Amino acid sequence: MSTLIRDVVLPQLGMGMAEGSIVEWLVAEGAQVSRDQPLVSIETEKVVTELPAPTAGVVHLVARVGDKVPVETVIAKIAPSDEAYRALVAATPSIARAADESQVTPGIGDLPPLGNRTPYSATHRRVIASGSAKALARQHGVDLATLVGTGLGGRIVESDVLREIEKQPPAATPKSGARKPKVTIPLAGVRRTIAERMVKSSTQAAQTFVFFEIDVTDLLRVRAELVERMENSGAKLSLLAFYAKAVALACKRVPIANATLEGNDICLWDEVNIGIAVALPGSTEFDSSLIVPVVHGADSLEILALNERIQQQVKKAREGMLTPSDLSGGTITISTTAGFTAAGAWGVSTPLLNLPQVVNFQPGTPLKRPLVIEDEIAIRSVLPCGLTFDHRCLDGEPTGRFVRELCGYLSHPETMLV
Amino acid sequence: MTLTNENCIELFRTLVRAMALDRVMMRLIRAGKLVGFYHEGGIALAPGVAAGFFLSKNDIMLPHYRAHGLAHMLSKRVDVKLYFAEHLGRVGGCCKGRSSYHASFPADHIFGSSGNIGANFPVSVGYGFAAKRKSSGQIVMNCSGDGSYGSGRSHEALLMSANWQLPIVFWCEANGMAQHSSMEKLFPGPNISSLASGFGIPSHIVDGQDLFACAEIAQVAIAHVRAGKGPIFVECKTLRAQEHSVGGVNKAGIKPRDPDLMRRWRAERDPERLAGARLIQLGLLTEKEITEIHAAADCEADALAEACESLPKAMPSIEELQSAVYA
Amino acid sequence: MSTGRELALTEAIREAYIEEMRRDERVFLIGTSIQAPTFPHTNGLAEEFGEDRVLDTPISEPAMTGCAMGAAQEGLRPIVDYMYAGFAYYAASEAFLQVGQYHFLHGSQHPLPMVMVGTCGVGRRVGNEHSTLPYGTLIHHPGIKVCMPSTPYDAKGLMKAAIRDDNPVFFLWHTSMMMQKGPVPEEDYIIPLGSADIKRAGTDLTILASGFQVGNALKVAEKLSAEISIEVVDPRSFEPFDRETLLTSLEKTNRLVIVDEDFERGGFAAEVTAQVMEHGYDLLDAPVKRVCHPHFPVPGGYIDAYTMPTPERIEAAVRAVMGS
Repeated sequence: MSTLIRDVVLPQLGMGMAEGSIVEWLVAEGAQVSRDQPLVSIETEKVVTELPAPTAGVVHLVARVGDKVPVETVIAKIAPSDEAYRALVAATPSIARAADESQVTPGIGDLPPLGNRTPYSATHRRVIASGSAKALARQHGVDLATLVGTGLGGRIVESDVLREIEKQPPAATPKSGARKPKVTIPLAGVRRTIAERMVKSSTQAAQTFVFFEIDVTDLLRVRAELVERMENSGAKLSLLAFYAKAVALACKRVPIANATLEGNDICLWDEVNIGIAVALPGSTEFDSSLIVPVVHGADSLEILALNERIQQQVKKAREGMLTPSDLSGGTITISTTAGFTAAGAWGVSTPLLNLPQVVNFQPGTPLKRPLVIEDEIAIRSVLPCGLTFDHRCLDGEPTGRFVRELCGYLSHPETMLV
Repeated sequence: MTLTNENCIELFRTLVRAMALDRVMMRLIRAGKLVGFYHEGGIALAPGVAAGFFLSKNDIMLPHYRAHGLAHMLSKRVDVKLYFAEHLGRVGGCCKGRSSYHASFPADHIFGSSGNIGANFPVSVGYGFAAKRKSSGQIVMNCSGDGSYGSGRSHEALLMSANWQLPIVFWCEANGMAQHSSMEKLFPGPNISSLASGFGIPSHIVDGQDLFACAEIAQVAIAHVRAGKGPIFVECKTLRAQEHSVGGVNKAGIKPRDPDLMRRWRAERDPERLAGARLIQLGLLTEKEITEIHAAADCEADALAEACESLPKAMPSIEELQSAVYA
Repeated sequence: MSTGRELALTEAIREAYIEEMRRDERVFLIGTSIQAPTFPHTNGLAEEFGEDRVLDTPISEPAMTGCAMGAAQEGLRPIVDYMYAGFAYYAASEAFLQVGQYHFLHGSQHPLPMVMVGTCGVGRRVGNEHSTLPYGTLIHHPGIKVCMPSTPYDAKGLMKAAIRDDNPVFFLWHTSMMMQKGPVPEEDYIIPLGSADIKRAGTDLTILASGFQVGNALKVAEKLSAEISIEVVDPRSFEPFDRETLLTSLEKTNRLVIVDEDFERGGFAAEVTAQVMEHGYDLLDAPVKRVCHPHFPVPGGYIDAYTMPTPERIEAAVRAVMGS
């Protein structure tokens, strides 16, 4: 025998029944009823019908005669005993839906806020943009309203947004606040330019690297002798001048090394304009920068004149006095890594092409090494070299010839005089 | 009578239990506890008891929707608690609370139902075909009302089972009604079983209020199909003394059905009373024993309802249901 | 519009039947247990018009449908009532294919005026066959018009339009709305098939909803009205579909949630989404979201209350679309 108060609900009888009305209570308030005893007469849209008591006990009437209530509403309660009935009546419950009525849809959970939206205005001009354009614009903070669309009917499409992104410098991203770097160097200005050019060079050209050594014992001796003689004139004679002369001469012998790729054309140039890579300090004390002033017409300059010209350009570079013409027209570049390695250490690297040029020659730091000369070991000075060429425009054969020419001139410096 | 004394008593007990369960279902729907609708069994449950009684566990049963097949399932010794729980939408129901009124007991070869009248026929052909192909000796007991023979599917099933000589008993519980229409208007002739002769299928007509007559004919029919003689048609003339489903109108077309007639039916043609009287007459049971059987049945039905009502409602998530579509 | 008279949805359908049957001798009703009746919309009709004009049939859907089709070809104007629209699937060849293709394949020389009627709708705890909404499948097959009212006013107007239409029209009504009341004018009026209705004006988001779901959409619109202004559009007809009204709405709101109680896969909601994409791509500020019955059979038990579209699910979709 149940000890619980039993709800009597208005059941759904018949498909369309949404509500019913109480026609007549067939028992009195507080009456003792037996199970299945007719309890109440209700009217639905179809018919008047009697509902039996679902269990025995003492009845408390909740709905009143004439009340129209929805299906599953509690219309009466049956208490298991008189005491329970008295307690129930003291609490006087009112009409309510049966207790287990909540049908919460599983899986909904916490709902997000509705967020801001543009208030509607009949005159408001919408920006027409494709889904992908909108997403990309959102990602990069591009204002769609400033763009002109190239899609159908003026629709802004993805490529329109991409074009805009490429024009703009990257937006400063706010730090999250968790970790802070010691120093922040923005990838902007010169640094950005260098970055873009390096990426462009390494992804567009077919960079191929050659490594070789040149016996520069005689070259160093010649230079040393000349330096002694020139001590009075105060000019410094750098090895760079000799390298430049050798390159210029080699270019005359292998003209394709002195070329630039302009669009789909490999342009071979008469003049040899050598770019000299100059290291400069960067925007902060921590970084560096790079600039490549050009020595125009290196092929028509003697070594001493070359030296003077190179010194001039390097000085201008260091003083920030280079003009646009100083920086343009280069046909081949020398990027020296002199000083990259410790004394006596052998090292080369792989310079990136200075597009649109097709060769970048990188002489290293001379060091003493034992070599085999006419079947005997001799201590010689050796110059480790790297050379990068653009395999789109040159192949191994002309590059090899160019290298051999360079090696010839620099190992036999007297040949540069004639 | 070919039935043994034990059979008679057990048949009677099963009928009493079925009618007690039916009354409890009526109480539950009026208390708003059943999900879906309910079609009261009333005084029409004797054929269902007879149909299931002599079947073995492997025989296939398609229950009629009167009392939602409780009589058929009970007599086939299926655990109806699982069906009760299902009909109350509870966890632990035979269809995980997902079906409302579909009974599915594959281990007992009761494979479920459909809300579509006539859907029982095509699948019964399938069960019969499988039994024949497997030479399993299984038979099919396809129970439905006379209204269901309006569906073309029933004719297709009669046709195919006759062509292939399938072991199917077409067990028609004919109460003269098809929902709210009288079969007098919907069938040209007094007996649905006349359909069978068109297909060369033998048929029998029996009083559906006489439990023992139904049981005897069930034995005959089962023996016929089990002997490989092809399908057979049994028409049990029974009575529907109330509306089609709870809450509906009790009319035949535009005419209300006569409430006095129905009261007389319940008084004079109640199969429980008729069977009990018969057993007393045969000296197989005393009044006292009969009363005890009734009391036990009511007790059993009440306990079943109470047990099921205390189970939690089945409320699976949408994800769980999505992964339940395919095996 | 007359003053304050309210009818239940099925009573409105019934009124349409009575007026049209009085107006046109050729109109007749054929269905399973429609005399008694099973549902209120055929109440008293056999008494008024005779049992040979309001006919009960055996449970024989293909024959009923074929009977209607043949009768229509011979000049009568039948209304076939399947009781539950799901039962029409047994007559799929007739109801979904034959009636739609007849006029077209035979040289467009002979119209086929017939109405098919059935109730449908989830949330009654009665399982798949008694709940299935067939309009997703129906609109897929050319030649059949399909409509479903969301108010008694719409019900009467649409049913009259359906009966007067010279083509096959499948008229669906939602089971949960059987006794739902609303104002219905006494006078004769038609709601043309293919005309949608703005059930609530708004400017921030459009909900396209039909039948019972219109009520759910309005509930959500009201609940969120302090924050956003939702426009509720009721297509009333699934075929022909009034795309123009929807696109005009999107010109204002640029956001769309479609509520469709039918199964999600390949249904009306999917069709509208594709059409909006094709014809109104630039009107959208956010992807279209559908709130449908998930892709599993309609469960019985207590489950269908939350697997069907509910105000909670609709609200979640609205919030998702506003935020995207």
